[in-house]
Amino acid sequence: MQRQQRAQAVTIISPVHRLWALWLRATWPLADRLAPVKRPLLRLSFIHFAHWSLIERVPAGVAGARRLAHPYVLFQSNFDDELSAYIDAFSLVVPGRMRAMWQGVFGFPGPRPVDRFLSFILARTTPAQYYYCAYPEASSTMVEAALRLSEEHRRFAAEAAGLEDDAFAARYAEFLTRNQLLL
Amino acid sequence: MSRERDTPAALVVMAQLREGREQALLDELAALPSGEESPFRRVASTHFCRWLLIPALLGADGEAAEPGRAYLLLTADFDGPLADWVAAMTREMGPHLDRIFEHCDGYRGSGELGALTDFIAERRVSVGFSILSSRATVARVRSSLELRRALREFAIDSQGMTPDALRRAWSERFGA
Repeated sequence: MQRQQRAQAVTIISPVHRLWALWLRATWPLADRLAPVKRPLLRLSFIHFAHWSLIERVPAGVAGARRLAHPYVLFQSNFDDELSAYIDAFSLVVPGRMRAMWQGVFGFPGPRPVDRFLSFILARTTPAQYYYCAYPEASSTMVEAALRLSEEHRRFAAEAAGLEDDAFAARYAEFLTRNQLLL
Repeated sequence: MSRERDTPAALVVMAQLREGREQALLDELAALPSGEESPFRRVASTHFCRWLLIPALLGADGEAAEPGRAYLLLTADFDGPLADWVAAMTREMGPHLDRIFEHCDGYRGSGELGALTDFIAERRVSVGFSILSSRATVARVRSSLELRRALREFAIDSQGMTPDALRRAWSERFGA
């Protein structure tokens, strides 16, 4: 794991039982399209982008390439805060989803107790030698707030364009009150 | 603008290293400028990117697994499509790409876009499940963050202004 201001990178690559790889390959296409599956993970609000992949051959995109002895689950995330807090939240808030992802990984201790889960993660983390973030000063929450505020600002600017000074001031006060948590 | 162009895409590339190139690769990655000086800053559609060395894949009991080789992993989130991002990387940081990927089997340089595209396609790992906090482009995220900062400053600076002064200050700052 490497830290660059707010966003951090974590990369975990773990061997997995072949039957579990089949399960993941079968369930991911649907799960990836279902908002209810993702909503609790998004509500954690410290993930920018996170991806799960399966690696079964190297090179991965060449027909007839060498098949690995075990498939591997590759997990990578760009997230805010400390890794231990990240794993804590996974363990406490979405343990079922953690099982659905990791249950077939060799050595997976389950999402609880969190100390064992964190040790499992730390032992399988590969540090990034190079990490780039286009907006390192911003957390995921800040990005979401900024995008929503941008829409609110666009609406306010359009509505306020033709108002007299007093009406503009009143409307501006409403705008600030309504959006104070986004500022 | 097409939906594909507006939507973030993910790329995962896992390339096998040539024998004995681990330290040379680590040196090259350590020398790559970071932060504001990062060459990825010039590839403006890049949200996140990482490079890392996987010394060896480990087996079920933690032992080194066959074929016992090291890998370079490149992963990136960018505003699609992939072909545009690869072309921008080649244009803006071709020499950096060459110095890093030359340690991998099968790399033929960034001089020929087709060869680089093939190299990436052959080593690309599909993404099965993703969480994306937003689908905004890098440009929109940056402009929104800048606008948020400006609105916050304005809210502080405009406290106590009369309506006409507020209106004038708003127009000067935000042009409406």
